[in-house]
Amino acid sequence: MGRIIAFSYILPIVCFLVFCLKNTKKELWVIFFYIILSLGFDFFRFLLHLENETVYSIVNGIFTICEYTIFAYFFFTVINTPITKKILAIVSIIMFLLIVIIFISSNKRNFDSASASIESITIIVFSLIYLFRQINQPQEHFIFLSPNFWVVLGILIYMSGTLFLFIMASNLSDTELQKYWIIINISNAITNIIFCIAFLVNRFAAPNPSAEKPYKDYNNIPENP
Amino acid sequence: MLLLQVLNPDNSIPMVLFFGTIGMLALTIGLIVFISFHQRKVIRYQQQLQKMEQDQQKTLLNASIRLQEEERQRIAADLHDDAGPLLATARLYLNENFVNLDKNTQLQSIYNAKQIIDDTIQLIRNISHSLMPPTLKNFGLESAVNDLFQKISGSGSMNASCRFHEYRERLKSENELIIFRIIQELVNNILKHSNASFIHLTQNTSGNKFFIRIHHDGRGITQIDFEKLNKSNVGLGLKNIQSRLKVLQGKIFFEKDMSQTYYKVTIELLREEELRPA
Repeated sequence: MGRIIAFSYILPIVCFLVFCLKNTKKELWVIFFYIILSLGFDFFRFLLHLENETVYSIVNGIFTICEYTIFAYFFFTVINTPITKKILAIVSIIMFLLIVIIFISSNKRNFDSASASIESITIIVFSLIYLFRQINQPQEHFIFLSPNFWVVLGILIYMSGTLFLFIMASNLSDTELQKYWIIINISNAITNIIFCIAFLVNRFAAPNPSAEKPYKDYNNIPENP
Repeated sequence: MLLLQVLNPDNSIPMVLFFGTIGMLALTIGLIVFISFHQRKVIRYQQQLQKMEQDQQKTLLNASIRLQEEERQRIAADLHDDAGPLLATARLYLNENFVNLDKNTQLQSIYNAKQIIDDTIQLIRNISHSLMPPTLKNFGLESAVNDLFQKISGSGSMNASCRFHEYRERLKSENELIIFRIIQELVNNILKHSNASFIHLTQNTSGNKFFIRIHHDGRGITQIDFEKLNKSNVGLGLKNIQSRLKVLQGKIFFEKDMSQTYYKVTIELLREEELRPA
């Protein structure tokens, strides 16, 4: 299982480095940074592995805050309507402060269920807002050709798959939580694969900006030979 | 959360977790499927609308070109059938002077030729006026329409009158020409098809809109008839009106008056300062 999880992290990183290093939008760089961060935290958690409950809890809490910040920034970048952007920014700041306050005031011995649940619910709502905008203002091309759509899909699957686990984490013992952590690992793996699809769609489906467009200058049509 | 706390945690947590997670994932997938199908439907609908608009543009363009060609043919026919023979006859009279040297006969020939040339000048003047009335250019829309209606009244075929209530400042000359052509086309249609005994035109403004209303008591068309004719291959004149109105971002509405005694055509235009740039 560990190898599968590791592979699911490496795949999108390799995809990004091979296909998307040049001329990539800011939002995909944000997701790439998230994947690296997520890999780093997972590796750190693997090393800690219940040796120190408090540090483990703090690491989880910090990861929740970072994850929320990155996803909120991603949605702020992809949603173009000025009013929605403003509302998103205000809600994000409030949620961020709430998550930080809850994390600081928690006992730091167990998994911080409250802040993780709030993060999940908020990000699910942001995803729904993005999808709602897509319905109202459909792009000219097919929605599956948009890399942002795939990223939002990955985020939505990750958050909806882990929401119930986060809500119930405070009712579970540490051993039980470790047992059910596989849900998070599977959700992570699926999300990483979907992020990989987003990077590939960005490279192969979107118009390549570096390709030269043929320019037809009708004033300089060569005479017949 | 309260409900979950009531349940026995030993047995129910895995069930709740399992079904909760599956439920959330099913909802997510269902939502994505719905969105993708809905978006395809919307894009297909937009493409259909675009195609209909393009077809309509093409029809209007074709109608415009056909009308242009018809106008050219008419002018060519007028010049060939009327002006041509007149000038040829004048030439004959003048040629006679080379043959017949009798002074009286010569004078008579020259006089006849002059008469014919005068008639030709008048004919060409009429053709030119029908192409571009000088009154419109020099005195504006109100004068040109007054002129047109006076000519119609003068012919005795019907009683034509017009009244401009709020036309203190002239519109741009190109816009005046377009409006004049629309009025001309509508009046021609009424003269040709309606059998009306009177026709009355009024102009006024309301807010940011400029209105022209034409009333007549003959056989008219309603908005449904207008839209049907516009879509068909006939009704070139109406298509021409539609094209011209598009340039001015205007609308036209055909209806029978509430009293059911006469037909009304309302042209609604935005005032010049409200027009969006093309």
